[in-house]
Amino acid sequence: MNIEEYISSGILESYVLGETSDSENALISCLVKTNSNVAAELKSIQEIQEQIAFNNAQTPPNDLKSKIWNSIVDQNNTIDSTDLSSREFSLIEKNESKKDESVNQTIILRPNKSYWIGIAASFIALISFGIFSVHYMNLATKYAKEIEKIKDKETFLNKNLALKSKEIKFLSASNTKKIVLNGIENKENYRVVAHWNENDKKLVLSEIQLPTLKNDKQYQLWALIDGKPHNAGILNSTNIEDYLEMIPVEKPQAFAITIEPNGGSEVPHLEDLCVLGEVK
Amino acid sequence: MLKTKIKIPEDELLLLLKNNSEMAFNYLYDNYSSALYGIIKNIVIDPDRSKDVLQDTFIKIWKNKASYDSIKGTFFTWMLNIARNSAIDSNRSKHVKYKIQFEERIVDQVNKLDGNLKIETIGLKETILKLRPEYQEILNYVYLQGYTQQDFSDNFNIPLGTVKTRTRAALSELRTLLRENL
Repeated sequence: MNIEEYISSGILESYVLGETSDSENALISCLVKTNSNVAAELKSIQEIQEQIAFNNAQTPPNDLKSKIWNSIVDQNNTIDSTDLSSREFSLIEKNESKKDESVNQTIILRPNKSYWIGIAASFIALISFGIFSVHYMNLATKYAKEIEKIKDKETFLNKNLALKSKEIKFLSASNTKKIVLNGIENKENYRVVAHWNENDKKLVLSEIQLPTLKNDKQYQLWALIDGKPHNAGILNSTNIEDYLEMIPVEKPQAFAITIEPNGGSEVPHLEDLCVLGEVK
Repeated sequence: MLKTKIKIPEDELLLLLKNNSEMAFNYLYDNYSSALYGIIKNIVIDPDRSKDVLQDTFIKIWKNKASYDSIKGTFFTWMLNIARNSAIDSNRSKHVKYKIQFEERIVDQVNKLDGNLKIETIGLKETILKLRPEYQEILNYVYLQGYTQQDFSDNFNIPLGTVKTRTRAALSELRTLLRENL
């Protein structure tokens, strides 16, 4: 199934109605960003839907406008958060803090000068202590974070010690882009990382987390260029390793992996999409 | 009630909405409440419940406008979907099951005189009537009566894939005919 066929199936019309699944949404929003035909078609469908809506407009009762605005204002005053996806309102009412009862005291103080100097001195000391505490705490946090980063890096480096130095060089070069391909709906634990170098166009996959396929199928990597998918190589059980060189590509906008029959396909089976990631 | 005739471009509208101003609300209400109410009323039917759903819709729009992403489409389409979903949910929670006669609905549409109707959209009604019956039917049920494509598929025993391609065909033909009319 190529893009033209995919569009012909009416998927964009479903998208505009809000009836597409998360994985379909991911793919479509990717196509909209990369393919101007798809973007234009989407715009056209929205326009006609909007026209139909305007065409069937009915004037609401006059008093409703102010009633609605008042309820919006009320809601703003009492609600902290809402979650549209759960299609419910969650009302979080701010708790009124109880005021402490004031106690009357009848102790008479007769402060002298040195008393006030003492107060001032302790006040300054307290503030300074506070400021320095905060400062040192910030420093400590900053250093702790840096230590964490260093530890993470150390873990990462240890893991990759097995990699040849050439590979490390490629992965960490400043013009090698890292693109995470995330699993789509129902495949959330699928994940692959792609690395593409802007200069030499080389393409490498690492951290390949994909389940093993049956003998008659393999994974195929696609690069979306000018809104069209181009073959970027095959992954099968024999060649999946942590540093997998794929076919170099020019100006990819996104990468995707689909399941294809052995030997690969000319065009991707979009219904067998597994992971998808945009090149930013 | 002031009806503003000025259309603000979408990016300016979004900026205005960020401010949570009453002016932004007024703009949305004045320009879009009729379209949203029309969708809601067609699905909910009952006038009182329709008013509630419209209120519900605007509250949801207001609360969630920060999460609107233009990649999903236009702001109006986003609002339309909220209205449609709110209406469908309201029906579900009231366990509403109703069957509207198809012919009756189309006659309603044609005969209805609404003062807010813009000149350029009058042609839309006549144009829809030029489509073949199964296209009119699907446009009516899906875009006006709040049937999801799955609902339509289940109710009329038509495979979902066919429903989708027919929706596309209906809209495509409608667009083509409208372009020819210009």
